[in-house]
Amino acid sequence: MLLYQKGDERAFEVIYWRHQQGIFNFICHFIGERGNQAEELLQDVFLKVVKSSKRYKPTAKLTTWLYQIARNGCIDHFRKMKHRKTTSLSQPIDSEEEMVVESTIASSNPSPEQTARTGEIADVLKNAISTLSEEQREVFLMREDLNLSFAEISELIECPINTAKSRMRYALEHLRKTLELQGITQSEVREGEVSRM
Amino acid sequence: MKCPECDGKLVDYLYNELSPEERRKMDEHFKICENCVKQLSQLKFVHTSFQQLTKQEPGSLVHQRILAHAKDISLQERGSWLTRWLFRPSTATAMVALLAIGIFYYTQQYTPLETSTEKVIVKAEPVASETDREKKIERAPSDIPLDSEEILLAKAKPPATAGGGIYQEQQGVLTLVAKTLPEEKERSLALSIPSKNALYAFELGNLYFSQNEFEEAIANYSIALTMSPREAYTSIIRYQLALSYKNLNDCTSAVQVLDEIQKINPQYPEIDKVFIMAGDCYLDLQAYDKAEINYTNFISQFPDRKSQVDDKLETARNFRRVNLSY
Repeated sequence: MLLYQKGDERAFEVIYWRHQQGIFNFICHFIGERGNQAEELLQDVFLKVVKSSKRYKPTAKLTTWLYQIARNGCIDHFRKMKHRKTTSLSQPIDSEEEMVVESTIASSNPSPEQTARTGEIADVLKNAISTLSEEQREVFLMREDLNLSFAEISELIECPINTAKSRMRYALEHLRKTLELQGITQSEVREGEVSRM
Repeated sequence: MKCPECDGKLVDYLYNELSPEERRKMDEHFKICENCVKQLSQLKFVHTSFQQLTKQEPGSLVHQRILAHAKDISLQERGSWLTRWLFRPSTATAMVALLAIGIFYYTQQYTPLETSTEKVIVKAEPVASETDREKKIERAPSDIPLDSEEILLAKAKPPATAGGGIYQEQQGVLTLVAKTLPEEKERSLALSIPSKNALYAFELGNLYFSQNEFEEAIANYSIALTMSPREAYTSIIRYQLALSYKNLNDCTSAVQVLDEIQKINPQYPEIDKVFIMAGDCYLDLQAYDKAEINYTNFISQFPDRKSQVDDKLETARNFRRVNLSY
């Protein structure tokens, strides 16, 4: 970032390629879609980085500063959408709008039945995430998508570290219950993937 | 039911945020507390399910659009900063003063070139005859174009200092690229590549690659590709990109890039390596039918090198036959 502040254009590109995927996933999961709106938000985040690069101070960690911008962008977007729409985001997101979520559970060799089932699990999980409170969702996604530590999360959202951890715990509990209510059990999560942890 | 031993620490355990000592204590506790094991397993279940979601990628044009907008804004920001600086009263006053001083010195020292040449020659040969002097005065103006040509030639040479370093670096990359191309025509094409920035990014990528820093190499090759280098050059960058992905065991990304090379530039001089690497990656991904296609393509184009892929092709076929293909 310091190089970019000094006029090295390439430094921005390096920052972009390093962080775009994590931020894009965070945005998609936060707003519950991966279409044009998520791409526009991604663009807004990085253009804001360019515009406010002069104000960046090396005292702040680059990722913290960058994710702060992404988080604020998502929250603003989410609140705007709340005002525009009265329909809940918890309703099925595979409606005719752009809310189609194409994500499926990653699998290298699933059978057609498995593919259908894993797609179903992905949809259930995404719906469940959209029903989390804003506070729980941001902590959950910062941990899972951005791979931030709880200390970093607490700094970013300006709350005590234990609050961040308990929000995470509540989010995990809520998601587990939702998955189980939909009849999705642990045995359906492939052994190979579990051991990846 | 909450367990006082580890309530509040399960999340830390799940995300590896405990010290080794605390983790060891938790592991000991799990041996005697079924309830905690169950709770941890439930939390793990959500974490694992989420991690299995496919990573989202924006459309490929989105990257180009964002990088182009960012560049525009950056230029505008710098332009507006310069304008603001120029129109500050103190800057404007200083510049007017500098301009006035410059004009003063220029008018004091400047003498027309023809006059000065004439004077020098006349002074240098005071004893020359009137006719000789006239000849030299006549010849003097014709010397000027020769001097000018020499100056132009001198300017055309690459600088030997810092700027020369960059020039030499880029020449180095050009030569490197050119060496990989077998045909004279392609070599000259590579040498005429206009996009020096793309070359520079590619060179940085190669540097990181040679130091086994494949993530950095990937970032730089990706940047090089966004700078629209010529087609002959693009495939080389793509090949290096795929190789970097493969070194990181990211076969899924590697095969995407390799498939692009086959699709966009089937005449790529090193297409044999592309087929073999794609076949190997598909074998890793257990996509045996695609692995088989790549090895077969290799054999059909390089029949005399069939033995290189015979074993692999057989493996792919056997697995596909026993219905283990994906």
